[in-house]
Amino acid sequence: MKLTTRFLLILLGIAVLPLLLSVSWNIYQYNSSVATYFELHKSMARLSAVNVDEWFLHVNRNLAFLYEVENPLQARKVDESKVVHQAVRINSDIMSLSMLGKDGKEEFYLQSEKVRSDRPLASFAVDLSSRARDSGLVTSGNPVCFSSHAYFPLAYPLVDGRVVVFHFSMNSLLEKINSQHAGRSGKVFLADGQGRPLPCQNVEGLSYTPEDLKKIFRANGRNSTLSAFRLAGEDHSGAYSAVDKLDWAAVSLQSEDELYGKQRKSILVFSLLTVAILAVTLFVVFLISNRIIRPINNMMSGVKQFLKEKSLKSVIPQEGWPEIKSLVGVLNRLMLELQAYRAFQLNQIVEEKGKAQALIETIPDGVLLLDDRGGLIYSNRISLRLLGIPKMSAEVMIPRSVKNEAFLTALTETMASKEKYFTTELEAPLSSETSTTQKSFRIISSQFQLTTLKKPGRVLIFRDISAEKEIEKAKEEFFHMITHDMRAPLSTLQGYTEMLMKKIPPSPTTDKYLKSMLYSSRRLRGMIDDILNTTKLERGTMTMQLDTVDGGALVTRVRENHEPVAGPKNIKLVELVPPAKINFTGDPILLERVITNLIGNSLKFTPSGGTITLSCSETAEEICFVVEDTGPGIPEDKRLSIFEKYSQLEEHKSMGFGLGLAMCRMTVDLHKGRIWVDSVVGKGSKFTFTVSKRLAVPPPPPPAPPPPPAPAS
Amino acid sequence: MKLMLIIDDNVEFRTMVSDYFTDLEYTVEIAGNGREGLSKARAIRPDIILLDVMMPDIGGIEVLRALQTEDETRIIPVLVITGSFFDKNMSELFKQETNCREFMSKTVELSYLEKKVEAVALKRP
Repeated sequence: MKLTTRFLLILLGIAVLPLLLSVSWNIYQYNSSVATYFELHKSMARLSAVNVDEWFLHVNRNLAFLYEVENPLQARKVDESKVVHQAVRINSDIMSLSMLGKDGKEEFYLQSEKVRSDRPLASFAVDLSSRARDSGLVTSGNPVCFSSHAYFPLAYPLVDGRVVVFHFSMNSLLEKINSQHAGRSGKVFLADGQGRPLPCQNVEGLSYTPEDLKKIFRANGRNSTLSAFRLAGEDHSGAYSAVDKLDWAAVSLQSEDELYGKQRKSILVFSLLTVAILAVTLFVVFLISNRIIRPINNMMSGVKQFLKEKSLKSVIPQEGWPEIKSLVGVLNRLMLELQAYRAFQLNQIVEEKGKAQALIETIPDGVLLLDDRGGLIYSNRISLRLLGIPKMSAEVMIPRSVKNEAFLTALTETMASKEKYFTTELEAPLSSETSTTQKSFRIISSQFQLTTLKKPGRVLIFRDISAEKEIEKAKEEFFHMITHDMRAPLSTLQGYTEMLMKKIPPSPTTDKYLKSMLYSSRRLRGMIDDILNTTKLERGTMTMQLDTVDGGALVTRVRENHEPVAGPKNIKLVELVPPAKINFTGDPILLERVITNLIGNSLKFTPSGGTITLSCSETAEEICFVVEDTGPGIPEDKRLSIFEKYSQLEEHKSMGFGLGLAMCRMTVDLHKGRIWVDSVVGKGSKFTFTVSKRLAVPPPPPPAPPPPPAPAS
Repeated sequence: MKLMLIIDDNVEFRTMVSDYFTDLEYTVEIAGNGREGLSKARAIRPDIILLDVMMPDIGGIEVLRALQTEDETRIIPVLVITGSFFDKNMSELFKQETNCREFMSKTVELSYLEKKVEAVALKRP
């Protein structure tokens, strides 16, 4: 339903409905009044008619004396004139009486002196008397009026052929009837069968068309109501009732104006009021529609269009009442602000996108942004080139669309991983226009939440790590150089020191010198070995030179090696000798490095006067080596991290590479063992590591044609 | 008296080893390259050969194989000593050769080397 219609209905409901109700009430009242009035007039007409009947009966009774006149059987001569005179004298209603002879001549004539007529009344009834004589019946004529006196003519034919013509006074009857009027304009009168009013009636304004009344009589029978009857130029309503004995009717009328003029007026007024209010309502609705609804509709369509087009093509016209105008103004302002804001936002986004794109396109890595199904959200040119995807499009799916075999394999693995952060490396041939080069790449995959899709997306970065690999290779070569070029002279130095120790006759001084030389050269070699081993262990390229190891002997050798340092520092090296010989498979050189590192650390941190205890024991599963000192101990929160590379206690930063314990851990891992530390701060530390007994014994060398005696490996 | 032949181009190492084993009453002969080593081996038929891997003329593996081709030298046990970084594959490769008794690094201590040499040489009549 439109807003206008709704307003119209509301207003009509408020204003017009009560009026309509009162009009209906008025009409109902009016109808019931009409019915009541008609009843009244019907009664009055009926009553008048009964009066006339009564009067006529009375008139008839007055004719009784004529028996005496015409009774011939009694054979008694009657003095007719005497009888007549007496009768006339008794009955004051008889205004004139004339006896007409058979030939129509007047035999005698009586007339009341009240009759103001210069002619005998009978002379008006010649016609009547002849009719009566012819018919032999009592015949009444039309009343006549003289000097406002009404006379009712009646001809009575006697049996002898004479006719007695009476004129009765009707004044009292008429007065009685005429005086019965209802209300101010009420009129009661008598009319004859032709609709004409009887003469001499004292009724004002009794001017009407007798034909109309006659028609009504004919149409409606003996009793009926009258309405809209024109009387003296005015509409009258009422009723009539026919008189039984005479061809007359009593008519009671009253001006309609008086009867229900007020009600009609009020109906009219209310109707007019209704119409007026309807008009006012329509006008108000029009106003509202024009001043409120149209602007509101304009606003609505304007805002809708704005929302659809995202830009304000034209402002909403300001019309209607001031408040609406200002509302429209505010709305226009709001939309303009919004548009400006949106434009600003868009600019921002475009700018941000530009920045991001510039960044992504500039960095030398390949970058891909994928949705959860592997569809491309964003990619830079480098990544597309690497993957062999000709163009970014909606059909491209990672890894399905990847053309480069090496990348396809690596990406399949990457996409299959559920890890949030995942890296893998690959070697891929990369063909340029001139040549194909083998390059190394690292794929870094990081999952993130796509806010718009509420699904995990993935960022893939392809980094060319060929250069890194090159550097690594160079580093490796540098270590080769160290191995080859530094270790050999050191070995020579060490070898000759050992030889010297044998050759030179023992003396405390030379012994001390040579032992120090040997210790230092061994330490230097150990350091170089540790660096090399750590590199190899980290890369997983370390191969164990497995051999049978005597655990006790290993511990003894390490202890002896460190005596030259422990002695001067006044640290006691204690070796707990195992009850039986412990033989197992392992890499003796690597394991010696582990114990050497552990004891080296203890020597570094144990204060003078302390003790370092070494032991080797055996269980069913593993060999267990323990290095226990009386040093400062290691805080609990550091007891795991010290085995990480380059993790040194803060206060010991200046005391080494920090490689030692990491190398130990990796070596022990290689031997399928465990390494850990128990420590009480201030009391000492106890490093323990194990070597599994389940290490695979290396396959013996294939048998040679002349089987040589196999060495101990 | 055991006769030892060292085939190595590295003067420092071979001199030291030579001195060490001379002191242990070995007769030590030295060859500075592969060819010389082969001819000396044929000529003196040592009880044990210490052989370097990387040499300027012919490499250790070729020398090993060449020694196998002649009856006089086939049975001479060889200890291969390398100064360079070696990996497992290389070690396996050398151990395939029947006359290669041991494959070790030059950085081993002389006492360890001595132990190995004794173990191999003493097995010979």
